[in-house]
Amino acid sequence: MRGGLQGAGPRQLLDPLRPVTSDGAPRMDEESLRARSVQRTRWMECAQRGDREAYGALLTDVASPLLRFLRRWIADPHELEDVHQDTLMALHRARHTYDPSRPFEPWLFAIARHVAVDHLRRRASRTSREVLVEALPEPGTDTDPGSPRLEEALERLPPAQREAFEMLQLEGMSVAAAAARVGITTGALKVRAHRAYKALRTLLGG
Amino acid sequence: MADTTSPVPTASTRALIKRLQDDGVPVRRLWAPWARLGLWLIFVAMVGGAVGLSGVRPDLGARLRDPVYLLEIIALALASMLMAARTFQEAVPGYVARWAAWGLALGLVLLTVVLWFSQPMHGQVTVTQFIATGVGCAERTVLLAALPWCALLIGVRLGAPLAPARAGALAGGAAFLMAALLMRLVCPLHERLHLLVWHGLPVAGGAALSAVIGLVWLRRWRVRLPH
Repeated sequence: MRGGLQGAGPRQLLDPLRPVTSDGAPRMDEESLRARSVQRTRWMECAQRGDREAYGALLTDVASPLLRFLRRWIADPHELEDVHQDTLMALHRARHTYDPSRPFEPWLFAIARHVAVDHLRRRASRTSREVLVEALPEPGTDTDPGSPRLEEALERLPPAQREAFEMLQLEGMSVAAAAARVGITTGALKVRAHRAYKALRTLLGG
Repeated sequence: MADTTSPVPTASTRALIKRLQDDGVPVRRLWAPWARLGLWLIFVAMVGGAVGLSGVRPDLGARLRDPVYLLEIIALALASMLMAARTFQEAVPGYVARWAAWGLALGLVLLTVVLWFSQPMHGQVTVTQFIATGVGCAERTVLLAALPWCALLIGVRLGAPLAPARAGALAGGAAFLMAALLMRLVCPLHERLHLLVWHGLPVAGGAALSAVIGLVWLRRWRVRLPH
């Protein structure tokens, strides 16, 4: 079966959201963009061999184009940051699949599109199933005297939910960073956190 | 007017980049889809060799001179190989199948179904006989598909499938079509209902089951631990 990398034509080798000037003309000429694409391919090839400097350069170089690309899908800045970080982690986990004989950008943006669509799908699914608890209930103010306080309530949560709550609310980590620490997707981490909030509300009599 | 300014990654994103950079250990690059397809075909040939050793239908030589039978065998083989190739491509982000390739694979499967439909129907076979002769074929189809199927699923799992259910369905389709082909070299029956029910349904069921397995198992590449 013949198959090609998505958009492998010369123009599609480049970022799908190339920077443009106010009059709509490309800010960089085709030659420069092609050279940048070749440079990214080289960086990735080196990164696959364990060259951390090249890998760092590549990740830094693609971070802004990725953000620009994801902004088309996700408007909320906090969600955008989560999905951006999730995309970078997906890139990291899939880096062994990149074939340097192929253009880099179709590979990169296929991953980004997948992460963004997956995020939107999960969000839609979550929204339809759960009432999100936006604010954490205040412990110990208007609760029943017999209700446990926050520390006790946390103790009674399942370990995974407690961990999610502590990372997000007590350590102030971003969702993506917390998800990376425990090795799950941001969507799964959010579900754990929401379940923790709901359980805490019940336990604290909120 | 569209916002074309260059957004700047946040501090926590920059910290994440640093962490990923520190974790940038060497990785073993995934083989190209065509190389993995070649390996899979060698594996399938070994399974086919085992089938050959265990005994094919006695009239195989004569049957291969029948153009309809030969067409059926070729259609099954090509459809299986096309699906296997596409399965391996699914493991690499950014590959997009061309409509012509999808159309060809679907056309070959439909051609096989049409050829099975064109076989005579034996009305004098009792239900008990129908089941007794058929269950064995279905069982052997599943047994023959099992190893190539696992090999395909593992092959995809090593990559980063962005559409896990589709990758699973393709893996199941490829493996069970190959098993159906091997079964046609073994089973001497040329009866419409037998072929459609006991040779065809395992392929459809295997592909559907594989899609579910793919949805559950193949999507986990995003949460596996770094290399």
